[in-house]
Amino acid sequence: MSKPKPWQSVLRYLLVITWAIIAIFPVYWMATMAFKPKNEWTSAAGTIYWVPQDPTLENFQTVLTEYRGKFFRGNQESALPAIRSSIIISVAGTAFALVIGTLAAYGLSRFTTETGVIPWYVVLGRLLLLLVVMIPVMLLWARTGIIQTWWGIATYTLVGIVADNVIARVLARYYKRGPVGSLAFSILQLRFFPPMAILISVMIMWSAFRLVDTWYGVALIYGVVTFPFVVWLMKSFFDDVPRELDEAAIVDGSSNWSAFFKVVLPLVKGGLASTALFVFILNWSDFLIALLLTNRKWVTIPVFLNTLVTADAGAQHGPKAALGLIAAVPVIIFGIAIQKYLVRGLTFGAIKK
Amino acid sequence: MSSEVVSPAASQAAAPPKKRRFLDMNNTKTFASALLWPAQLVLLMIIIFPLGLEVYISLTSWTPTKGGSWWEAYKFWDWGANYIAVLTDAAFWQSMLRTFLIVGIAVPLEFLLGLGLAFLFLEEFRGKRIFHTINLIPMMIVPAIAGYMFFMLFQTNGPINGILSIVSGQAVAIPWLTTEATAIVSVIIAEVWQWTPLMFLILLSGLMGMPEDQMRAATMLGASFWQKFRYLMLPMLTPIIIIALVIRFMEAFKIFDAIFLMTAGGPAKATESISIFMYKAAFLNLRWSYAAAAAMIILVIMTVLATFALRPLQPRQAKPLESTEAATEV
Repeated sequence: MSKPKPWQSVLRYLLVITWAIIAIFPVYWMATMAFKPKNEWTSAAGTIYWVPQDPTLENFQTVLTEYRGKFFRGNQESALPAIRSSIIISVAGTAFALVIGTLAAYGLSRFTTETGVIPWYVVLGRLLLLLVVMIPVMLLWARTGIIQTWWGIATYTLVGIVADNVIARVLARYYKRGPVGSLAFSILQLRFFPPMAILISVMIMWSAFRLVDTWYGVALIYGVVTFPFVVWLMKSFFDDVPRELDEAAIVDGSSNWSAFFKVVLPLVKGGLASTALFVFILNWSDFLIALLLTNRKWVTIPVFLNTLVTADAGAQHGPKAALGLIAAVPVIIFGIAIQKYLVRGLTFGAIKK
Repeated sequence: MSSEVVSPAASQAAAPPKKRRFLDMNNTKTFASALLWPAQLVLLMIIIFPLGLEVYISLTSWTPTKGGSWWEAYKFWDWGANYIAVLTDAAFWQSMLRTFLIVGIAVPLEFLLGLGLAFLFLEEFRGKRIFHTINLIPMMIVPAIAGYMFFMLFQTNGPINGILSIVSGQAVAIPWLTTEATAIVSVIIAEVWQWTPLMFLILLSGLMGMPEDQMRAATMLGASFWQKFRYLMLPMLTPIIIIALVIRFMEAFKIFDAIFLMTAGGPAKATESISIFMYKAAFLNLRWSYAAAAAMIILVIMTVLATFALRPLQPRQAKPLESTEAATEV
């Protein structure tokens, strides 16, 4: 490569530094805000405090301890329970997604092949057909009232699974040009629905199961929402392990399970760890699901932060920034730790670099 | 949602036929289903009941305030009047249009900025690693907290106006979040700030993967940078560019957190994205059946879009076929 001319290097540094400042400034502002005393939060007098003149830890103290009628509207709890529930729910959701996703990824990597492209009218037709067929079932279940119980929902789901299989078979009979659906495709498709679009009914379902505002209820949904990432990430890692290895293990007399656990899984340890961190970051970042499915006991950090915002708009920057900083730091550390795999993760393993 | 289990492992096929036992894990087919079933079950659980319920409620005029539990919604059955109401509601289409506007401006901007940055990071220079890491920080910030950061930055007496005042030399007091035109600009800026790093990362990995020999050959033959970009890099980068754009388009379409914390959809409806629209319909106005109908319509649109969008993400499907075709043609 030819050596860049001096003006090129200067220009490069100029641009790179400009962007670095843009990238870091909002974070810098929040970080310094967390250490500013109250009179520096806003610039009512016209002076903006670019650096804290009088750094203090008061904001952290405020947000982490309980206070009554002091700063926020009415009594406010400390953020410690929110931090605790964020950790518990994110970890549990990650574990759930990892177990389900890793198994499926191995299955998809070793035992299935994608066969052909499914056109949109088949995908949509299958979905709509299922939904229309299920309307009378839902009406029947509703009129008899059994739908309000958990076993009503369970039987309804069972009927749905059977109906889905029947529809798939009927479609396969008339549509000869390719598959009418594949698990891999459906898993990926799930990522593209706006979560808002199914959360209303998930809320109803969860209140029937008494899962609203429990750590396992929210963690379950986190797991469901993030397991597509696990499937596609882990599949890309499994695809990197030569098939011959597990086949050799099987020939040597180990069972399918032990070939998976003792031969293949140790080889993708690193991938598994980064997938775990990646999914943890996704769970930790969620706001919408926690906003709708928690209300008091298991409120997570972003939701807690939001209640502070609405309680007294614009006036409590310091404590909120302190909480934001607390929430941001672990994720930044984890993210930097797995930066090698970020692209692979966020593109569902499509780009492996 | 079914998946075909094909070609059992070669060793299994060669093994002498054993007596089939129930749940025999050494039978490849059983093993494969055991691996895939949990995922399949979760998928069906999250699809069948919630969607069935959504269709059911959307066909009635039930709301939590009408009395009666949700399952008694059949008492308010009204044959899909909600769908007509949604499809003729200007606010729905406006929020749809607004979402496409936000996505349509933010994602290309992210792409261009990310591409420029990726070129800057293509060659070695002092401090490259540190700048690379700094560039990644925005995408690691929790979106809701990023929204809150920009809420602080865009205050009328906040630092953004402060910087503008210093640059322009006169007092600038733009009410960013409280006038309609600037509010949507603020939302787009926040979105671009947060997700340009992802574009940068994806495109950089694409550029790094370029075959060096061809690049060097082009340089030696006297190709200008633009020629190299247009005729060499762009064709090779296209698949990666498509993946990057598809993922960002689809993810940006769901935009909710940052807007919710910055403007909550306001002022008036200036920043009401489709997710905010549904949230407001369901949880502020308590029109659940209406929101359910809107959700179903969006679901249908997204299902169609997703089937097209997901194709580039599954390179294994089409690639081998195409390459063999090309080979036989040559």
